[in-house]
Amino acid sequence: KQWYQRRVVISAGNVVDNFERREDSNKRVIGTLLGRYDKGTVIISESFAVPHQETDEEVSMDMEYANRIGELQKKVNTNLYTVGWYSSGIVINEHSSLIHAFYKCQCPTPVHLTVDTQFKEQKMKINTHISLPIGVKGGSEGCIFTPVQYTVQGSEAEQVSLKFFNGLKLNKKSPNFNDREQLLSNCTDMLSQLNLVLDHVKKVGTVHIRSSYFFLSA
Amino acid sequence: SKQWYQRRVAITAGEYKSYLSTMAGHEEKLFESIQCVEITSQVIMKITRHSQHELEKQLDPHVNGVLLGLINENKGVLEVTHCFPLMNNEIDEDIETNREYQLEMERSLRLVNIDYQQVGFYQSTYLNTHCDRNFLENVFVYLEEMKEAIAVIYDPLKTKLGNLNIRAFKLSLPAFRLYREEKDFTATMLKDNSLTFENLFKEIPVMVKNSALTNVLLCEIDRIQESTACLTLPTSSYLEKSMQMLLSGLDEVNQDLQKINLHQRNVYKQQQQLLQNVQKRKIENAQREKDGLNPLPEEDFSKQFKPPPPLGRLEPLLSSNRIAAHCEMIEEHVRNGIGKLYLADSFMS
Repeated sequence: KQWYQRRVVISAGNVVDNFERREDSNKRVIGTLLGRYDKGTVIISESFAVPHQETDEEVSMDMEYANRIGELQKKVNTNLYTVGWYSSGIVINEHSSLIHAFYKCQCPTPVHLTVDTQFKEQKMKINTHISLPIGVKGGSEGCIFTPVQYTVQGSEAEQVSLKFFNGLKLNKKSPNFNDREQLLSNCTDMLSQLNLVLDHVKKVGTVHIRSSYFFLSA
Repeated sequence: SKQWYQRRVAITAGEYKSYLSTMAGHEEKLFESIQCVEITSQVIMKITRHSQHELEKQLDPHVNGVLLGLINENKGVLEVTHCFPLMNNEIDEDIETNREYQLEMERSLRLVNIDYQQVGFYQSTYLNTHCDRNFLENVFVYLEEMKEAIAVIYDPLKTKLGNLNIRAFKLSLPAFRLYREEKDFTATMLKDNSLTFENLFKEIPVMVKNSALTNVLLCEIDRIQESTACLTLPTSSYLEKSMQMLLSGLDEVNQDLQKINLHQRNVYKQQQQLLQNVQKRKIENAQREKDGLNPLPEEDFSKQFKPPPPLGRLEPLLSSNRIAAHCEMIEEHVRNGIGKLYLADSFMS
C-alpha cells in the first residue's frame, strides 16, 4: 500500500523548536504527530513534544504525558488523532523501533517523521517512514522503516504567511506588515521570474539549444 | 495623645500616597516598557492553522488562544515564542474545560522547556469587528495580571487576499486606570482623562523573528506552491462587506447620538420642573406672608426630582473605534486595488 502524506509546515517547525530547547543530555527529541486519515492519505496537522531520555543502552519516554496531552489536544481540536511520531536527527535505531511500538498501540500505522537538524547531508532533510515487518515467520523477525512519499501543502492563508517569511530568511530583518510593501515584494518576485523565462526563451531562440521543458512554479 | 494619633494618621496617609505614586510610576514604566513585539514564524503558522481549522468546521471563524513567551527588558521587547488554542466559550462547560486546559498545558510545557509564561492572547477578527466589550474585558484581565501583556489580532480574510495581517494591541494607560475603577465611563471622566476613541487602544509594532535553524527549515520548504494571492485583482465583495459594516457602525453611533439628545432633554426638563416648583413655593410663601400665615418650609425639591443617571460612554467609544478602523481598512484596500488595476492595465495594453 502506498501512503501519500500531506504535511503542514507546523510539525517540522515544532521539531526544530523542540530540538533547540532540549536538555543538553539528549541528542535527539521526540514528539507525537496529530492529524487525520483521508482516503489513503495521512494528513499531519499538529504535533507536540514529549519528554524522553535516551542513552546508548536504554531509552525511556513519558508515556503518560503523551497520553494526557494527546487527550487534551483532542478536546480542543476535535477531529485530530494520533497518526505517528517525529524525531530530530536522521538516525533510526532499535530505540526508534521501541518508540514506534508504543505508537502502534495508538494508531494502526504510525508514521515516523525525521527532521535532520544536524545537516548530515548539508541540508535539513525531512523524511517520512512507515514500519513494515520483515523476516521469516517463526524465525528471526524484525521491522524495517521504509520511506514514504510526502508532499507539503497548506491552505491559502498559510501559503501567504510562508511567502511573507521567505523574504525574512535571507535579510534577517523583519519586513513590514504594510500592505503596499508586501505587494511590492510580490511584484519584484514576479518580475525576476519573468526575467528568468525571458532569458531562457532568448537562449533557445539564438543558440538553438533544444528547448527543454521548463516548469516554472507560479 | 489625640495629636499623636492625628500625626500617625497623617504620616501613614502620606506614606500611602507616596507608595501609590511610586506604584503608579512603576506601573507606567511597565506599561511603556514594551516598544516592540517579536513573534516567531512558528506562532504565526499555528494561529493561521487554528483559524483555518475552525473555518473548515463552521462558518464563524472566531478563534482565540493564549500566547506564551518572555520579556526582554533590556531591549524593551516582548518575545512570543509559543501559543496554544482555546475553545470558544459558547457553553458554560467550555469555560471550565478551558481553564483546566490552560493549567494543564502550563504544567506540561514546563517539562519540555517551552516558555510557559502567558504574555497575552490572540484573537481572530472579521473585518475589524473584534473591538467590542468582550475584547476590552479580556485585554483588561490580562493587563491586570501582567502589565506588559498584549493582544494579537489576526485577520484571516485579509491574509487570504494576500497580505499577512497581524497586529498587537493593548489598552492605553489612562484607559486601563479608568476601567479599573469604573466599568462604564461617563462624559466627565473621559474629559478629565482626555480619553478619546483614538487613544483607547495602543498599537504596538510587530516584528517576525526566527532562529537560525528555523530559517534553514524555511529554505528547505521552499518547494511549496508559490502564492499569487497577493496579485489578485480586488473583488467587490470584500469592499461591499466592509461598507456594510461601516453602515451598521454609523447606525450605532446615530442611535447613541439620539440617546444623548434624549438624555439632555430629560435633564433640561427636570431642571425646569425643579425651578418651577421652587418658584411656586416662593410665590405661595409670599402669599402666605401677606395672609399672615406661617411660611411653608422650602423643601429640598432636588430629592424629588433626581436627574437621570449619566449615560455610559464606553459603548459609543468602542463603536467609534470600530468605525475608524473600518475606514482605515477600506482606504488601504482601495489604495492597493488601484495600484493593482494599473498593473493589470499595463499587462493588457
